[in-house]
Amino acid sequence: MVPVTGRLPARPALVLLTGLLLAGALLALRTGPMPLSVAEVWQGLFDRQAEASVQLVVRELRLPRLLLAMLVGAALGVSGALLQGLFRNPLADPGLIGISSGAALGAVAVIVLGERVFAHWDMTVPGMTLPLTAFVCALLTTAVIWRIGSRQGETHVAMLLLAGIAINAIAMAGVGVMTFIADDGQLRTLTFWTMGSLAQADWRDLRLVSPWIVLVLLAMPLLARALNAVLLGESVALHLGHDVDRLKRRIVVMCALAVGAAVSVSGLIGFVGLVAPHLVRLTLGVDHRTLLPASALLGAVLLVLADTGARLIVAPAEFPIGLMMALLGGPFFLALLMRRLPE
Amino acid sequence: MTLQGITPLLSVRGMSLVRHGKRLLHDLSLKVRAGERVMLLGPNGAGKSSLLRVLSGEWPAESGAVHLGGVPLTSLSWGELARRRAVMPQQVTLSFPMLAEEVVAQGLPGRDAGDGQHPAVAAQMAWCDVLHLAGRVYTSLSGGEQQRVQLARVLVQLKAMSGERLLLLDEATSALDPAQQYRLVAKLATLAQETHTALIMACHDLSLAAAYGSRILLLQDGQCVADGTPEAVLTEDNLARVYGLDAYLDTHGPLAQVRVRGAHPLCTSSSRVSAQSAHTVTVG
Repeated sequence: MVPVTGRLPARPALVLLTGLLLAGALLALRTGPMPLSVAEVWQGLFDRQAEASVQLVVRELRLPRLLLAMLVGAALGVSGALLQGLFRNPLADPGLIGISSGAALGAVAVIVLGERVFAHWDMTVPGMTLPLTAFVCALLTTAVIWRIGSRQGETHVAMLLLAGIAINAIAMAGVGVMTFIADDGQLRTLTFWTMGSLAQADWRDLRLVSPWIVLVLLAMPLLARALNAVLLGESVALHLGHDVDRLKRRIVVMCALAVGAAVSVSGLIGFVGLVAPHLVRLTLGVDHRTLLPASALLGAVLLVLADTGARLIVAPAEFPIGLMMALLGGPFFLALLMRRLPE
Repeated sequence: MTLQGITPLLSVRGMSLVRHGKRLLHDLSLKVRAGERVMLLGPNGAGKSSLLRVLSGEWPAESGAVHLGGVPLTSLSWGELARRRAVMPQQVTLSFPMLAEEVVAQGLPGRDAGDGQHPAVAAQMAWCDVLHLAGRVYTSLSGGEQQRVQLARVLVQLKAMSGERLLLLDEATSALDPAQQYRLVAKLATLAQETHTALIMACHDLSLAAAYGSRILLLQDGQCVADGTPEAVLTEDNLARVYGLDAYLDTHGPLAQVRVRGAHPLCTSSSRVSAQSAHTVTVG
């Protein structure tokens, strides 16, 4: 059972989360090998006469990385909330419908086989190959799982989850094969990819993923009422006038697009999709009209803070952000659950 | 009887239902007018819930026709259906901590859905005697309390409709104590009469059905065995044949009640199944 809770009013909480996100953003822009003051950050962002190195660090290195962290965090947070609501299961997560494993297989295949394949045409591997392949593979895997889980226009959640487990296992076996045949250099690259990182973030990545994620973030409020009804069961949602099968299709497509895009540039970052909606439910309640935007905001805050931490703790090297999330978030989340349980 | 009560709100002709290769309902025909209180009786597995699922539009019938307000059920969208009929299923389980008032507020139409502060929410919660539970978490309530909260949700949806409407209840009062049960079903029967509502309610309590049903539909193995007033349907013969019960309908008190003498000595549950065959009683 999900523990229960005192509740905060929704509107101030959303304002507070937005404030937190802005504070986190400022912190992320100031922190790094070259610490900057607030004034310097401001100049770097808006003043064309500012020092060239400041402009470079703020505009070309930290800003795209910050925006990417926000988008990826928001995508993971909101997808977790959508899928948990749809499956009526607080443990649901985008990984369940194959998005993560599909993207991982695509990305790892490019890392290991890319050079050999493109050598045929005497080319080096184009920069966009990895994220594009990961994105397409994420969508394909989800489509396969969706096909197996649907019969005669109806989608059975249990079937979907079981198909997800099987297909995920197959995809991860594929990743294992790639790992097995990889050479040492590739092994290091793919290991880092599976631990998640935003270190390579640039404006090109951002242009690739932002349309999908922004689209999903804008569309999500339209689903909130139907998702609330689904909390009472699919039958009740039908009785209340919601087309549940259409809702399922929309949510799966939205999550595949948003998380597929996110994972294709950031690598595997677990936990945000699970923890952000949980924290919101514990404090604000289960109404999706609040839960969805709050999960997006909190996911963004968590990832911005984790990424800032990842750049700091082993500087000048970088700690993988996926590990960072799990190491810090896991115990925190557990503590929160244990404190709430005795009620 | 008013003019609008003459054409049936719900009309079912020769309807059969097959799910997963199993025939659940067979050649059912039925007309229900607004204001009628139809009690759906029959032993476990007789097809009461299946019939309600077809009437709610949730399961499409395999053959035959179901019309609601003169329109084929299959031609109505989910949204249109939700403005003509309200349904209370047997069981509603929640895996997230929703407040009781949030559950009830899901019954509100359109943009109001989920607004726990809407006056209709408090009104129907008071009607169902659960207003004091509004701020409680639904999953922490007892079975009977949960059932009354769900009923309030269904009534919120029903009250928002205009014109003739259909109310389908699947064992909606099974977890209530007897006093609550008689009080609520009496109120529901009055509500149906006064608000152009056709009430169809599946239940296992024969006396409750006899007391408040204007009509009783007796199902057995997916077929309609008898359809008519409580006096016509709840005969000693029918009770023995369908339920294997030695019982009779007592109409002397203020409420009609079914008095049970015991299980019928000649009807073990296996002989009851084999003896039923296609013996159908039609009652005017």
